[in-house]
Amino acid sequence: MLSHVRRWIVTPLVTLVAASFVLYTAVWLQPGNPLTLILGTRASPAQYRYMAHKLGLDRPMPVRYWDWLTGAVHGDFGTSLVYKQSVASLIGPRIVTTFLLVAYASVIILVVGVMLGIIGGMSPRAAPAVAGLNGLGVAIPGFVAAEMLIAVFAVKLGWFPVLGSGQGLAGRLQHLTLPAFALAIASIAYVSQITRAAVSAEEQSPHVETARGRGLSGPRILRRHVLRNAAMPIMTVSALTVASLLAGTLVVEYAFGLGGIGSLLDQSVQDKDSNVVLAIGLILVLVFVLTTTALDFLQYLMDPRLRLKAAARWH
Amino acid sequence: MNRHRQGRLRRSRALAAAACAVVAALAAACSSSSPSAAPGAASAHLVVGTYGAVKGNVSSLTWDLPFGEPNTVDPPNTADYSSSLIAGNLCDPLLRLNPNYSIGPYLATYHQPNPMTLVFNLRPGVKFWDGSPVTAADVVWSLDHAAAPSSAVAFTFANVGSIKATGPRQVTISFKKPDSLFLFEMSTFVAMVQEKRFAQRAGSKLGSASGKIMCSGPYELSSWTPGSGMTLTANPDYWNPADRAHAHTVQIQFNTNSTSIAQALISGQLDGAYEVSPATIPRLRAASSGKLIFGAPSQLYLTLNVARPTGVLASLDIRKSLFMTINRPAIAKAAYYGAAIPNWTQANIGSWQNGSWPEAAQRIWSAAYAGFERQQKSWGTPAAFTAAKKLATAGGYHGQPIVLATLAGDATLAEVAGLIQGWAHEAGFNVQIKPLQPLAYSNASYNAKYRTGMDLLLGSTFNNAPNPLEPEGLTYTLGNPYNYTNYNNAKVTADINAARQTSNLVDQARLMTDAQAIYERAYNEMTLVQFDEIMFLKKGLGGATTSFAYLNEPSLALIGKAK
Repeated sequence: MLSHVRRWIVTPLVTLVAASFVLYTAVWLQPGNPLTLILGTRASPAQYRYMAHKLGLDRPMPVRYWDWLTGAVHGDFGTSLVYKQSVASLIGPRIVTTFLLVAYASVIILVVGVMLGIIGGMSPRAAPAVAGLNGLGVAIPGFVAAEMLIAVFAVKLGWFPVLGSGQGLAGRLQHLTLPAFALAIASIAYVSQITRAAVSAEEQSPHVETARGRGLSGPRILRRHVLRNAAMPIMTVSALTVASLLAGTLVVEYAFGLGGIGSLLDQSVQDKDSNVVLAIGLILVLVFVLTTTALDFLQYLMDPRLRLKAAARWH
Repeated sequence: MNRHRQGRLRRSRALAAAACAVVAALAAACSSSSPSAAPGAASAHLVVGTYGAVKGNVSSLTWDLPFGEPNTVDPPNTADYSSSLIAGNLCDPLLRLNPNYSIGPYLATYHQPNPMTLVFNLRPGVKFWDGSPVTAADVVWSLDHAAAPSSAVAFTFANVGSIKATGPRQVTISFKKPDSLFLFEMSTFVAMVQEKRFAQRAGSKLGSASGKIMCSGPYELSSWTPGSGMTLTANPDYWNPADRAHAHTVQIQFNTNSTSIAQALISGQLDGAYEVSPATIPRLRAASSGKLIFGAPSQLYLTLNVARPTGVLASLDIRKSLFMTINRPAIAKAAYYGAAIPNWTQANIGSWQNGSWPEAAQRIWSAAYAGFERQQKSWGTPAAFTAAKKLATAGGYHGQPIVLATLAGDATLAEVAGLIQGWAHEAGFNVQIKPLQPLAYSNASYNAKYRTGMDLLLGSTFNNAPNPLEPEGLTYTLGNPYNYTNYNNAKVTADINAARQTSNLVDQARLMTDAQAIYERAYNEMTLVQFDEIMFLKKGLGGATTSFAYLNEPSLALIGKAK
């Protein structure tokens, strides 16, 4: 039991604190004085000293980090140096956009990617076409995909808006369709390729041959014997792909003018706005840690061999 | 204002209602006090003052801020493009800046009983959005707030002794010494008036998305969703019919991707934008959805500064010879697609060729300018390369690297840096380009510590005050952060100080051109081109201020249905 607590609770927490320290140090080490963004470039040295003292920027780095950490533990992530508002109120509206974008792209990746992979894995005739599509998908960078989608579907055909994140659920979905596809294209190819390989390997395995020999129907073989066994690598790759999408939103948010946390992170790193960088950085780390922990847990539940190994260790 | 703009500054008046959509040749006709000669003004699309007359209202406008989300709308801290445009539509300054850069009364009338005293008398009947009257106490608070150490424009109050309410609607400013630039600042965001009570209650959140602001301008800030956009709503009780809002609402977007902005303008999703990227000019020129406008007078220009007093460019011969390799007309054509003109003095043309100068003063500036143009217009040619090589060798140059720092991620600056590197190479110079991240670049522009190892700093900049006194006063007086080379000349210092203290603009022009004749020979800085204010406006709309003065006036309020 203790090993489970360590694995699923203590390790993620230690990862979060370590990540926060690394992020804080990285922002602190970055050259430049963020007060320029508040005072402009014509303020006197005395003004700079006054503001540094007022905002606590003249204190040693470990003291500032400790203050931040104790605040964060109590749910206070501080105030943005540049925007003069609480980090929570700055990130709140943006995180909705980013999470919707990631959720939309995830659905596209899982549905299209897994489907293409199954087709490629099951049908030797479709396999080269699926492999070709996958190659193309992986080769197109997100920003190129974004520009192509905008040029065709927004400017030429006028089906979708070029910019902005929209109002209301329907408006948001319409605004996020092109960005979600731009974000998903490379990952679709990746998930599809893994699925195709996993399904193809299972297709040729003895237990599937046996099932065929027993005269079981195609769909039943697919469901009970192929997908069930191929699920583990597909699930692992899909979960890691979806978790890493969050970090990849920056390019797509920039291309489509979406105010999400990706573009805010980019701007805050440039502005040396450490409280904002830390908060977003930790959200990214937290999502990744939660996803991998959840994956770990699911694998444990789904794979009896893992449960047997764990049980053997306890005895 | 920010000597090197890095991404974030500036306003007019529709009274020039006879909208001057004219080509450069007609500049003088539009700008009442422009000189008859317009040196270098050559852009075929140049629109001086205002584009299109307005016949009515529109229900809404969708406008983009290409430099991104404002970090504040608290006026004295809006010294960047995005913040200043919004503040200019929300808040009224004491005086009015017109598209040709002349100033006039607005929230207040003024008089100067003597050079040491400035008296403002507030217009009666002006109310903040919440219905409270604008009082002298609000004005004093707003000016004190702008002069506070936490303000980005505190330096403009350097010569101010006291700011006092001397009546319910009267404010008197006393000076420690006369300051000819101060009155102009009263027509900018420096002197925008906000409600004292609201501001004190908002505290440190004043001007932010959560703290907001209380002003008296033609638009109210009705919503601000961080990362997503802002909504401005017309102020129904606005005091000034000439500057009233012509749209019921304005949806502000914060998109910074120049390609996507161009596509949204072409597809008609956006109604317009100021500060459109020069890199998108070829695409927007062909757009049928609206009009690409190059506006004047402009206070925007591109400069190349010697970055430190030491290093290879400490030699006068070497820096002059390097400057001789640069072809300014080619930069205007290649990097700005014609939305710029070569500029032959360190003072940009627009700083003296505008409505704030009387014609006699402009003639003095123009004559001085013509001399420098004659001297330098052969620079950047093969003959100049040969002469430059000879002069550099005589000055002791033998291939040492010359580090040219510029802003990373700016396509136009990257192109210009590449051109400079190529021309310099023709004359035997070894120029190495060093791109800097925005914060590092901004820091380098005002603090020597951050310019270590750099020889040249390339960047675009602008003037807040349309007067060479602002940039040259900052560059050629000792102890100033923009005096990168520690330039010190007693006559130049005396002329600049005397010019700052005289309110006679003809005398000021004489003093400044005397100083110019000396400091230009030091080759510490080179203004390469002055570029136009580049904007795009959707078909069917009019009333847009096209000059750089748009940043200090309610420019969005003036845009409505075109005649």
